[in-house]
Amino acid sequence: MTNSPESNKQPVQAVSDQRDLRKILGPSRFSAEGFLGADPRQPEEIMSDDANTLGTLGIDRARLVDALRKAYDAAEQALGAPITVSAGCSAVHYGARGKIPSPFANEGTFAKGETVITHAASGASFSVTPLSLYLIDKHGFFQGKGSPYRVEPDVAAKMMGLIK
Amino acid sequence: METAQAPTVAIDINGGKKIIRVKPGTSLLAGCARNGLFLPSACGGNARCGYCKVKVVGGATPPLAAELPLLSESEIAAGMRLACQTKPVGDLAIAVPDELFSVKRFSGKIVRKTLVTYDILGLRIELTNPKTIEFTAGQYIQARSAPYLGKDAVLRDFSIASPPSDSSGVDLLIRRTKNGIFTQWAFDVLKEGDAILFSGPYGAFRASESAAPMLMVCGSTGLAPIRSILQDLVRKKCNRTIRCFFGALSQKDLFMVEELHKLETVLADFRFIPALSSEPESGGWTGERGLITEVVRRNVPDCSRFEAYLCGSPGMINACIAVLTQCGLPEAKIHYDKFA
Repeated sequence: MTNSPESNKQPVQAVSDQRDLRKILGPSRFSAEGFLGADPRQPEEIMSDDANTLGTLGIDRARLVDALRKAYDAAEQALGAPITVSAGCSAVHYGARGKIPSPFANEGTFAKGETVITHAASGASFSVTPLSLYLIDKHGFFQGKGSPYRVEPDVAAKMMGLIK
Repeated sequence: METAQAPTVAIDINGGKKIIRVKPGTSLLAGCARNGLFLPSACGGNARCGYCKVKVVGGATPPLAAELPLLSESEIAAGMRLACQTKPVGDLAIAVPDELFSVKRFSGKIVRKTLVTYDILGLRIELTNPKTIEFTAGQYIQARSAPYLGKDAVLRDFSIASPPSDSSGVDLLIRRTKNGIFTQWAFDVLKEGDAILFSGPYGAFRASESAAPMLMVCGSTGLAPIRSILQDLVRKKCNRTIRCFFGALSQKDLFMVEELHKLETVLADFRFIPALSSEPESGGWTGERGLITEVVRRNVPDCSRFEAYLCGSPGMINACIAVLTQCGLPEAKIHYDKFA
């Protein structure tokens, strides 16, 4: 099942039952910077705003995640060599040893390693990891502004060629 | 006068090889550690890392909800549990890899810290207590960082890059990772003369005792266990055919090349083949070019008589397994240390 653009406006999977989300998503022994960056918004607000952004653009989250995951996988298979993922955009994978758990309890661990997607003309870039893709997919959580693994939904959709 | 003793439960480890007694409700992870059996763990017992899996063979209770995301269905069916979440209230029997019995905690001192490339650090740790370490070439240790800049101490795994004969310490290769808590500490804070703690050795990656030709493929710091194995094979006067492929992007990512080429004159039938996938044509590189998988396929189109030893990122390992099996090597003969 894929989300329709309208569905992006619906509340994402409930995480608000977890106490003190800001603490859960802050720096920890697994994540030096945490997942919120310098964003003063509450996590639910970040998720809601990003869902609205996608809804306004008419992009459903599953489609964006699918495009990002394909870029991640293709770059990983290139073993560190740059690949083209869309018009004007390249991706490079950086392997790393170990796993990182989801910040949310009972959600398992994810391989480390990241793929950096860069737009050649503007120099804009962002990173995706197995965990960041999972958080977007499962929770609609693109991370707070200033987080090293924040994915701006509109920028990502544009760089992946989903919107003009 | 008699004093009442606190009740304890018995934990039988590996069919009576070791029996410990712990207070009921104590986690297996903590109970084992208190009795000198150090199970790997990176989260300190919070059901987050999934490193402390043990097989419960007697007295098992179902896994807790917190364990389920970290255990596969086959592991659950086989009785695997997270030691940090298993708190026996009755006698229990568990099975762990035999090599864990030789795991110890070590303290050491950084006696050498050098950059071997722009993003890879070489560390030499000389042991202070105990003074020597026994391990098998290919194994890894779990090192502990110190708290810094508000960040907690963390545990991370690193393959030993030195041979077992060099038992007074260990060499490590550490690649800087963006936002990596341990690697930033190692690169930016740790200095020569500092103390460091680690436990080990861990892992089953090692050279077999067979006489089969060996095909080694590694990338980046995946060279560490391969270097340990090769140096160990030199000491053992190994005469097996060995082909060692080292994949990198460009010349600036290569290291220890001269040292490894020298082994071609020491080992009976050894070739070291570095290969670059993104080196500019103008760079003067005359060696192999292309993805390491392509280079292996080109040089060893029929792998069927080899045993393979792989160490690197999950992407590299998966790609190599695919190519090697296509080239006739059964997966059972592919040994790997995946960075995950």
